[in-house]
Amino acid sequence: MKTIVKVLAVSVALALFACAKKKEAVEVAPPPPPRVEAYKPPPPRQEAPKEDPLEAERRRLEELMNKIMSDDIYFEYDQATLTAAAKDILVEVGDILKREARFAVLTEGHTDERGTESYNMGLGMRRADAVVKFLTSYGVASSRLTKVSYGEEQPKVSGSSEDAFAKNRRAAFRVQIKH
Amino acid sequence: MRFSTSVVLFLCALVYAQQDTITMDIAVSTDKTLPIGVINFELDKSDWSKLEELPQKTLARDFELSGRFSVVESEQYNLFKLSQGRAKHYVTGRLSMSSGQARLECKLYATASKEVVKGFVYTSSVEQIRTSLHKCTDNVVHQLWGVKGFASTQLAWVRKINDKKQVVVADYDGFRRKQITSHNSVNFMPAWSPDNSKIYFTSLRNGRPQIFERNLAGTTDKLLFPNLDQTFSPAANPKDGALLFSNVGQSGADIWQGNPQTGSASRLIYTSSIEVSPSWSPHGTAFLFSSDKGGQPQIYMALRDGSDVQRVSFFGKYNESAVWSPDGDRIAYCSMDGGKLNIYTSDIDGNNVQKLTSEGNNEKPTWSPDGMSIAFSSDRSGSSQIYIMRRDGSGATRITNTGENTSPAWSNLTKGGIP
Repeated sequence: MKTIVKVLAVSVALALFACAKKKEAVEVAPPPPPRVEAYKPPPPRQEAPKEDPLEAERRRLEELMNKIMSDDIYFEYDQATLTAAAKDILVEVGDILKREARFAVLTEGHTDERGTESYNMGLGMRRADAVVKFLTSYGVASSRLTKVSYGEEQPKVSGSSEDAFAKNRRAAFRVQIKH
Repeated sequence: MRFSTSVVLFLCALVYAQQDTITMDIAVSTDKTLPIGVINFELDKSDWSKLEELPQKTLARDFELSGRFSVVESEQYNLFKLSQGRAKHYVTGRLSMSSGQARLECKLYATASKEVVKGFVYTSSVEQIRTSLHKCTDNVVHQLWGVKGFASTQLAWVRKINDKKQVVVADYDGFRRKQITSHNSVNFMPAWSPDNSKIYFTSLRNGRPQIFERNLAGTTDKLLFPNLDQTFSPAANPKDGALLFSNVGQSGADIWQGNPQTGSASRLIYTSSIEVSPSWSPHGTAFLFSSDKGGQPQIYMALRDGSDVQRVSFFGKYNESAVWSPDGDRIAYCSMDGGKLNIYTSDIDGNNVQKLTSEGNNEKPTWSPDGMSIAFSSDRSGSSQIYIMRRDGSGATRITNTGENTSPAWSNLTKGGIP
């Protein structure tokens, strides 16, 4: 799962720097004519090449995105109130979001398997909402924050142990870069 | 010590036995059931190897699941056995093949006189004999009770297929199951249209919960209310088909009503709480729903336009998934006690609470169209399976045996006469 998230993050970041800014334009425009320069042989590589600044930026953003996406917010049973630990993490996430103005974040609300499917769908919404409200009041523009509930349908850990329940009662983040 | 070991072994054997047979939980029945004899059918010399179940087995299960009968099984006519079981009537018959068609004769007899009360004859392919037997059950119900039975109805539910939740539809007794949805995401919370031609369900295929409609004659799913953000738990009005459902709200979820044909929708119940699980009254003029505005989910009732909200449930901390009985006098719902969900019924004012289940988690009650039985899902056997019990909680019978099966929704009685 983590790998997939990471691959996603990398591909999103790559897409940002590889593509032109207007995605739609790229999709409809015909391929550009080949440039003369393209026929030149590539310059010989230096022994210790300097890192491409774009590459460094890409790596920096990727690390920040992975940081946010690995920061799950955990909740008490049947609660959507943010714990002190949850607020600590949200402050870190909020700081990153305030620095990186192009990050847009989807907050997913999840529950453990106890209780009914329908009520858990509502509880997931309330958890996502609690996180979004905190980030908004922390100074992140609400236009960058979206939310969704998956109820009990997408547990992080399978099983019916207390430990699994605790890990599944969470809000999780997905980060995109706005163009 | 030896005693407890043998008890454990005995329980293990029971659990094991539950894995591959249909089990019946013989709980005490408080409602009166009518004893009926079921005697082995006579099969002619044709090849019946394609017959999936002997007629008496299908009929006996139908009668038990009807919530009206208790079955006295007998291989042949046995006056002592039938009288001892107080069965004043019995059913038996004959299965024969003529020119490639199966001919099923069913006869309802009076036990004491052995006189035929009523006889029914059905001609069908071998594959359709089950359908004929269900019709026979409905005819016997009509003959002895004067009402329409539900043996020819269907259940929709959610089954995990390749680890994904999919909506399936089967005969009400779990046989002849068909997969309805196939999108490789979560598809759940099925509900029937009033005429049984469509299934409404919720899917996460677009990354958020949304209600879809599937015409059972077709193969495509239609997204309903595309302008709404996150919709789930649909319920169709039994008279005009209007959908009640939940949509994401200010904080939590609200109750909305919408027209699946035109796509118009309006918000009915909105608070800063979670409002879910709407369920129509039998005449479609009012509805039940759950709200946690008091802290934890409780059942409320409102008129169709969302006005006159009244709290229904007062006992227990977590009451959810309420469904209105077809007669309108009772509700069934699930309630959490000690971390486990169980099914209860009560009057519509919340009084006369009756607990119907006690083993494992028991969820998502749905009434049979005549209100005599309740289908639900339970994990009492170790995996989630669908069960049907009488409305007093007795006679719980498992109708699915493999995989994970949840969220049953009973189809409606079709209009028209007795088959």
